Amino acid sequence: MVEIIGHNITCALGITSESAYKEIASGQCGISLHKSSSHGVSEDFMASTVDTRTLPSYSDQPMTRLEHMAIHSITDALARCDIDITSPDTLFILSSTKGNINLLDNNTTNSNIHPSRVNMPVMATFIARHFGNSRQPIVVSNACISGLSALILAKRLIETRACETAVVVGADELTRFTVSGFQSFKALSPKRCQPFDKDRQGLNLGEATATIILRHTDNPTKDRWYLDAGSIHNDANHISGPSRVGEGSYRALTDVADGLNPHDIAVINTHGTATLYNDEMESIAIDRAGLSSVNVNAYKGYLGHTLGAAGILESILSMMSIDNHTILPTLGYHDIGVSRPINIVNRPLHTDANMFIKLLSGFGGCNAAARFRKEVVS
Amino acid sequence: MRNIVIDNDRIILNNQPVDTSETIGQAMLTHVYKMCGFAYPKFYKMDSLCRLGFIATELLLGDKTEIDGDSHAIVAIGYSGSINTDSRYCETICDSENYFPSPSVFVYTLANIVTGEIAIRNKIYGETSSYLIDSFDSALVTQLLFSALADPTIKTVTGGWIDAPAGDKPFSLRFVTVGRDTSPQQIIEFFNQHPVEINR
Repeated sequence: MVEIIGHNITCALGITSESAYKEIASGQCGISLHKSSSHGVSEDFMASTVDTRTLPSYSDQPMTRLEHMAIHSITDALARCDIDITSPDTLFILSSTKGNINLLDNNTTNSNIHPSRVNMPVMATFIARHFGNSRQPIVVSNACISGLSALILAKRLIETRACETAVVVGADELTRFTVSGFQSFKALSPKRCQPFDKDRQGLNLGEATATIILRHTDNPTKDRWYLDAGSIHNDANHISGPSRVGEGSYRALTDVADGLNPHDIAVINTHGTATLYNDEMESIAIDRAGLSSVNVNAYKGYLGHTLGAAGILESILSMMSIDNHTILPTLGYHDIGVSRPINIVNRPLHTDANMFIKLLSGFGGCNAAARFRKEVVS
Repeated sequence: MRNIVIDNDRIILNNQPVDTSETIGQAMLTHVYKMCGFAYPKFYKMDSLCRLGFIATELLLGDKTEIDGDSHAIVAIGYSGSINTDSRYCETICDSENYFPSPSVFVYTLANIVTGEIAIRNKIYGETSSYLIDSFDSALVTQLLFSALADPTIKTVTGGWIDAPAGDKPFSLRFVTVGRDTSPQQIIEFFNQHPVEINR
């Protein structure tokens, strides 16, 4: 079995899982207006950002802002568990869509950082070496499903005993590169995003790092979380638009929900980016999978879309909410704006279930689902 | 075990050289596209990484009749990811006097788009995954390739090493198709026989 033994969220609303969860559970939103002139893009936009000046300093070695956020996240997660970070049985996995892409942008000054760090394997190696780990790290760069892809890879490598422990960190920052790109796609909402709502106008970007540490165990422990299943499927339809029939998400969902009673699933925490097509696609996939009676929520209204961190950050929030017997509301959602009758949660709900499904989809037609379970038997 | 090796100046398909008429680099990929009559105009919209993966899988998967799209996975492992298109995209946003970001360029600034292009072309609904590592490590590439078989719904996997470095530096590809009865050791040996020097 693959047990989750530590985690951290570093985001606009807090730099530990506990502080971020506290803000989110009280309904806080970390998304604010950013002026085009201060980011060198064509239009103002809404996004959540991390004030990295609040992070402790970790090294005299020069590091990028994103590396600083990642090292903080890992350091804090490590403080919550007892593992040998330097062991060759400990594997680092970095989940990111664009890593240090800011190093390519001529207008940003990072002259004391070697330009090779724009390559994500070099960034991942820098981070692993910071912690004294000499094993070759793996970068998972699978667009917006990267976070779940990375957790699923960790699970597989732990189950085949290719490693005993995996430190999975998701990291993406707000850059002119991604903001301009999403603006060119007309995918950004001019106001705070509204997942699944009839008035939704697109997504907000957010920056975050998030870490989950996993390890092999033969004996489950009461109240601990386990990553029980994961599945990835392609739509085989389009590189920048989701399948109209939710093909890949439907397949991933049915794989991880196979044999389950829908009543036992506390919530399906969706991707819920608040773009017209994504949310509609997810409603179709959930309905097709026979899961329309299950509670559904999305967290993009709190922090926006945190790209490579999203799968990890949103899985942590789901675990913490279920630890508190709560299903978090979908901030920004008021009236249903998707064609299928799914159960979108818009106020805090009590739950006694101990299992949830995390769903993601991304460019390249990829979709991922994972099932997490809290052990209830002592 | 089906396999393909592509370097900047040669293509070896199932251990037999493919006639590339002494073309090199991107011109070689375009030459093969025309010579083999692959009727897929979208090829010309793709970036260098996707063209490399497309040509490799067109040759490797042949008429596709042996591929079951429901249980087939695509796994791409490299070093440079989408760095070529990243640089190209940056040129469209770095100068405020000459600012013209394009969605058709931006979409190729992701390492995994090549796996999506291959899935679309071959109607593959199984797993698509993209990994980046710091050196060509035969055992690690093999391990990542076989990791897709951990999913009980996946029966065959096509993929391996694919790398299109920045600028005009030579690209490299080592793809195989493996199934549940393929020995990982055999794949490690194949990669060892065709080592790659990463162009950093």
